[in-house]
Amino acid sequence: MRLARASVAAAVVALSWAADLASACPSCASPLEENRQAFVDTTIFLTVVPLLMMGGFIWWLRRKLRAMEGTPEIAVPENLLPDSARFSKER
Amino acid sequence: MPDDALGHPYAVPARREPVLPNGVLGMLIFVATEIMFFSGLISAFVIGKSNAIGGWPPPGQPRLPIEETAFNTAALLASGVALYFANRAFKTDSPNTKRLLGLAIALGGFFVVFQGAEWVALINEGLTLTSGQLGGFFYLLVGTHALHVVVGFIILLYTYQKLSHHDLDRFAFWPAQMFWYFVVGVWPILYWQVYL
Repeated sequence: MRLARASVAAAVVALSWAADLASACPSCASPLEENRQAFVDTTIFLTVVPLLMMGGFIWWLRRKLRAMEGTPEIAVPENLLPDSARFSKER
Repeated sequence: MPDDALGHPYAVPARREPVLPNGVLGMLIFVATEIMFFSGLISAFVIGKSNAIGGWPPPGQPRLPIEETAFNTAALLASGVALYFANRAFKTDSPNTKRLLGLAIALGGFFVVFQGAEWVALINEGLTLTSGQLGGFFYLLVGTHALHVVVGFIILLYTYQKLSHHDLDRFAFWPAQMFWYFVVGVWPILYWQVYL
């Protein structure tokens, strides 16, 4: 098991060198410093944005659920629930 | 089945208000994908810009109208503010809801028309989708956003129609607002990246 894990780790490290050899990494191959920096910046940006969105949603959901914990479930007829409230003069 | 004082049966299953209504959750997921889509486009533009030989904007290409678009940006932002106040008025059943929603729609419509006029002027100056990197990126980014503004405009019109018929509930209003806030929120980033 330990040997298998070490082999996988070694393969991953070896592949990171292979990318450089094959010029598969555009930021490594670009001669322009500004271009290399743009690749690094956009990689960070595209990594952080989804993590922030998911993290923000989980944080908000947790907060909302905690706030709801105190509220009891009440049997209320469907037509009296606020969900069904319409924007009308009758409301 | 026994009735309560109002004559409604009370032996109904207990329920809580959902944490997130289905419509809002659906729109949230959609907006998240849209954020990633625009992030991808902006990233491609940033890399393209950094790779341009001879500086950016490329020499020999028409200049983008910075001041006029700043005014148009203000109109779109004002539309978002008007929608925010429309929601506040909606919560209190205020008759101002219709007026404010109408204002948000009008400002959104103004943005689309102004943008169209800007495009016509730029095309006449020779900036087209195939005229170079600037034209290609400009019409791709700004055009994609314009398409979203048009869709948001239609959604707001539909919302306005529902409101006029006293048939609008908050679970229909929220997703429409979310989409419009996204459209409004992404534009200053595009303006900053593409125009400035």
